[in-house]
Amino acid sequence: MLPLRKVLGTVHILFISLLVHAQSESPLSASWNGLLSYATTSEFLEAFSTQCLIPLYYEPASFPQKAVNIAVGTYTLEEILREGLATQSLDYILYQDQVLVILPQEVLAQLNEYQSVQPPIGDQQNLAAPDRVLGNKLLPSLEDTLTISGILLDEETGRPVEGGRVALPDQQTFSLSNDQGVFTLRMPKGRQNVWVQKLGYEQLREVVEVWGADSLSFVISEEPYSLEEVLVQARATDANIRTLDVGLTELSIKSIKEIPAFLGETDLVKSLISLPGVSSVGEGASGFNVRGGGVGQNLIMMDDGIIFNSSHALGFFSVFHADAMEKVALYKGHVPARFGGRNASVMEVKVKEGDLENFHGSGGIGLFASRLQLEGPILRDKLSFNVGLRFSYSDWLLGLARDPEVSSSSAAFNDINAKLSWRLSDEARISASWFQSADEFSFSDDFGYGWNSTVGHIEWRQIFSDEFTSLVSVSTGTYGSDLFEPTGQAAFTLENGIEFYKVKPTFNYNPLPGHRFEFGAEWIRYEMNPETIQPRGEQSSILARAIEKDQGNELAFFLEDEIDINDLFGISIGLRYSSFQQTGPELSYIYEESAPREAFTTVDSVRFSSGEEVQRYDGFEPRVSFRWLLDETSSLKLSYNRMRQYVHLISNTTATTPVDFWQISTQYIPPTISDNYSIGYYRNFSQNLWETSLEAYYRQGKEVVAYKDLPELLLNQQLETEILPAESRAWGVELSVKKTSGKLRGWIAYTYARTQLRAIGDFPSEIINEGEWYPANWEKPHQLNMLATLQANTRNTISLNFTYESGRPVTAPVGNYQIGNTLVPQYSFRNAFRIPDYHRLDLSWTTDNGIIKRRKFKSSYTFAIYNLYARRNPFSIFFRREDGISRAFRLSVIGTMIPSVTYNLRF
Amino acid sequence: MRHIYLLVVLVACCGVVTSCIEAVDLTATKVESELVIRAAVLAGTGRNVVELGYTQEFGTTIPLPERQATVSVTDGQGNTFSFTEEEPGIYVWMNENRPILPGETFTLTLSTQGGEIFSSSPETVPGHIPINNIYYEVRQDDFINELGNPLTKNFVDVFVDIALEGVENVSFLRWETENVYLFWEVDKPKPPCSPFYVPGVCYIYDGKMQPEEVILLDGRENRGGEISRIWVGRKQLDSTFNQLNGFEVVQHSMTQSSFTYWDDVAKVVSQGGSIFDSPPAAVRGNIFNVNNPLDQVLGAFEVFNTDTAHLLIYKTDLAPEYVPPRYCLPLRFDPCTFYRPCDNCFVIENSSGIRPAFFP
Repeated sequence: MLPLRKVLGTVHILFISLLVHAQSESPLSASWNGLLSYATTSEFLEAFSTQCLIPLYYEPASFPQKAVNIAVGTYTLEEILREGLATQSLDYILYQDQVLVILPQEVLAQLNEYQSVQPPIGDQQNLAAPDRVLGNKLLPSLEDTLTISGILLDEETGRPVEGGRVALPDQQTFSLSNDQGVFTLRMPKGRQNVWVQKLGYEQLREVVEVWGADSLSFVISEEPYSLEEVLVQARATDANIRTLDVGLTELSIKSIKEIPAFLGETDLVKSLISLPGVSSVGEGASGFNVRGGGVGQNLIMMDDGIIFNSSHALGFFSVFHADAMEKVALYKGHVPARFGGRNASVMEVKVKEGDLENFHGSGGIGLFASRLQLEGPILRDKLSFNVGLRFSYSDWLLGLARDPEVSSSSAAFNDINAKLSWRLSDEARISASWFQSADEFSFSDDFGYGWNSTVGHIEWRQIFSDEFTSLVSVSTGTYGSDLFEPTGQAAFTLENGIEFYKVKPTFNYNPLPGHRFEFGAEWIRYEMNPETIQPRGEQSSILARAIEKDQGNELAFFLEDEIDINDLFGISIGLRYSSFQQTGPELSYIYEESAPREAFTTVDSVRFSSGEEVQRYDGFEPRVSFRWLLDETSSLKLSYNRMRQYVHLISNTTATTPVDFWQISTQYIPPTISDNYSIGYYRNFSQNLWETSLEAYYRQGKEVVAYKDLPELLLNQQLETEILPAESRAWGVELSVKKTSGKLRGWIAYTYARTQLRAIGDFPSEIINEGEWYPANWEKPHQLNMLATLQANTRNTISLNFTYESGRPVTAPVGNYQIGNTLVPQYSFRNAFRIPDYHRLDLSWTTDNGIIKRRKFKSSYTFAIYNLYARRNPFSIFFRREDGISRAFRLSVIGTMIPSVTYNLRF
Repeated sequence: MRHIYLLVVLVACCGVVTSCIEAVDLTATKVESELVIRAAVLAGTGRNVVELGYTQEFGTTIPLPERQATVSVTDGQGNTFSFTEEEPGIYVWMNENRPILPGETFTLTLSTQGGEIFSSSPETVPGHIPINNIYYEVRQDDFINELGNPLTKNFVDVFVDIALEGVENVSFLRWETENVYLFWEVDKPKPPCSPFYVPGVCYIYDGKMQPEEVILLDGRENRGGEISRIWVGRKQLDSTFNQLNGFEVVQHSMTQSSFTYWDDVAKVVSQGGSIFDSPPAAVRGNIFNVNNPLDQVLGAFEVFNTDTAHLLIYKTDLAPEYVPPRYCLPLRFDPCTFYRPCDNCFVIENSSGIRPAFFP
């Protein structure tokens, strides 16, 4: 027999349907003839159970055992049961015609009282009993439809869950939880089915009864088995169809880890490059290019703090410790108005909040580097921490090199992430995060590089009411780099750096049905450190110098309204107003008006005092995105963005390097402005198992930073003499087909992309390629990426990644000539040739001890082979003199297959 | 400039020493030849040379001269001095009677056979900066040979010291170091192949050391005063040091525009193809096509002041452990099967019987 408390528990969940099902089709409608006489209630119930052929539950100890006598006749079972129980002060519940539960009448009366108030509108009578009631049923709201806000939380960690879909299936509406886990729904008064979904989590279905505005929180738990877990998008299954975002890509850390990685190091940035519209200059190059934008045109943020250099080891790895991160999102098409300051894209990386309930950790040991991540509560349910640490030990690899100069070289990096999350109440949370990374590179005793980043961030999330929430963040950070030559007459240390201070309050206000307002402001103070060169060692004759650098303030206000026009159409209308003020101290040069801007055409200079305004720029940045839901499985989206960029990456190398530096807009370096147009068609098949998209874009830019031939960028007080304002245009088409779940999943992405620049100055030295459009360094017209992951069983995962790209443009040597004893190469027009095409196949196999949820320690090995068929993909073509004759050579950065093994541990 | 090449190696290390460099055929990328002008006027008196030629395909160094051009320089007073074509494409002005002094300004003008006229920006002759000291050091470096075995080699590194004190203007300097060594034929027993045989002596003019390196000093970046240990060349310590080895270091004091030109040359000749290279470009100097200002030609017009220093290294100067073996050892029989240069040193490339002026 079922214990009473279990019976009550069952009733509590299921009671609403009991009365409904006790109708004509009930198993209790059958007849039963004869004289019924039993000595005890239990005997009667056992006999009854054999007649009605369904399980019958009761607790004998909960009621007195009395005799049951029913007169001769033909009765329905229901009549007999009522008669038999009436004398015992018992009653019954029939659940879904399958279970019969006997309860004392007083208990059932309490339940009936609870259920006695019927919903006033709709057909909610058909729904089960509510799992929760919002508002006061005695004082119901006068409005028929109410705005309900709530938070979606992870059961295991207590952290907000972003991208969860909270849906009213009967109303055909839904809301996606934001990065604070907050969602907002317009719910009709009465009883509603509410379904909560997020891939990788168990689906939650509840019945909610609404009487007034109130908050609503759901706690969802991860699926115990990961066979069906998301590969690509940790979002609602059809979010790609329904959201207003064009060109938004979100990758879960879990999916990133399935992509075969170089030397087994999971890399967020390199993972993005396998997506349509994202590319890099080449193997080992840091940074990435989005839809024709330069590396410096991507805003990279970690918890709202700006990351100026996202690379480790000269670009072979990124600074993001995957285990410590929650997710990464890349906005490459529509960029919400809350983001600004870069022309091409926004990459938003969120650091994971620590588990409020339990201690967890993960780590890995690889050939090149190791990592450790720990998280857990400091004050249970209140305060948690998350700490991630990575460090490399690559010197042993360098030591294997036979070249003594290489073997005596050194390369090392480390980074640390720390985050404290404090849940003040259900409505308020504060978190503080800290990130620090450092790289050191030295080549024998010849030269070396170093660079480091530090970012601190504090944010306060507050839910003021169902309609009004806020997020206020304050962050600061520094990025510094140095280049040094350790010995000799020319030994030196050259240092560059930039600091920023940022305050950003953001508010969400949803007072109207179908509108989601977001507004706020952003202030960023940039301070470029003086560029300094110092002699190194006593023998050095280098003159210590410092080049004064610039500072400025970027201020922006933004407002955006996401509007559900109706079930089919949605639009997001945003406006950002940004301004930039360059401030002193500053020595500004004045040049001859009728001459090219060169050092020797300087005619005067003006000194600006500290804080004095040197130059001001401002302008509006409209953002519009439109969605037309063609049907349940397809949609069409359009977007337009204007973006203004006031900080520029000064880099005239093929790829970004540690000696690149950031330069704010000045009197002679205006902000770059880009207009971005996107259109996309999205269609899902087989209940969102397959996601397809076709996106096209066009981007045009003004005042893009280009460079004169062979510019001198370091230690140049008059940087404007080496920079050219250029126009840019980029266009392309991106086709993507994804299989989102199943044993075999993955994607195929094809991109056709063109990016061109044009520099037409007033003087010959300010004209590139005779004023014609020329391709940018990173233009790769055809890109094809294919990723296939086979979850062979619960222990083994095999991934294959294939990449094909057109060769990038290069300026090639086309001849040579002699100047004295020096043979000088003759180069073509800028980027007039292309290196051969690039293709590569990677393989990884991860085997673990199973992924059953209850197991305490989970370990796995990842075996990977990068560049499986050992293709020598050319990175560049250059010239070298051999035996007195000039010859052209091509460099392959990675010229063979690279196997790796990594041991991973989770606990 | 060596940085860039080394960086290529370093990047290779990041790729677990898996990078590779392969020769490629660029014959499909031929373009039209361009005119190259190299013009120089030196302080003092002597031979001033303008070379006019065209760029060539890879794999060839045969000059393609521009003949029958009209070449002249004009000084600050408007005096014009013409060059005469001494060899095809080589135009010379001997200025024994017109010494060129620091502070004077010259402008180059030339017209080609095709009628195009080129002119340079005016350039002012810089002052003289002496080389105060020249010396060498022997250094051991470890290498890997073609078979992959470790190897230690000895090198002679040549350094100079200079002083920038008393120099009024900012100095821009470039160094070129040439090597010449003495080669002694074998001391054979007489009579060998010929009874009249006398062992000969040759001077092998090895030419510029590290021709792919442009050694520059930017006076703006140096604190002035004495600057010591400026590295100007390196030569492997081999059997050429067995007798007498000499180095001639020529220091060019240049204008800022010349420095910029050579700095650009250095950038393109040191390209290693790595991700850290600046995108290369044609190196344009200070010469423009008068008829088409967009046509900035290859090459440059330079005026400079030079100083020369010499270094002689006798084998007795070297520590015994560094003294290399002789090429040609005294043998007592079968002398005709010797290494042929030991029998006739003039078969060695760049050998001459003319003794360098700084050789004893």
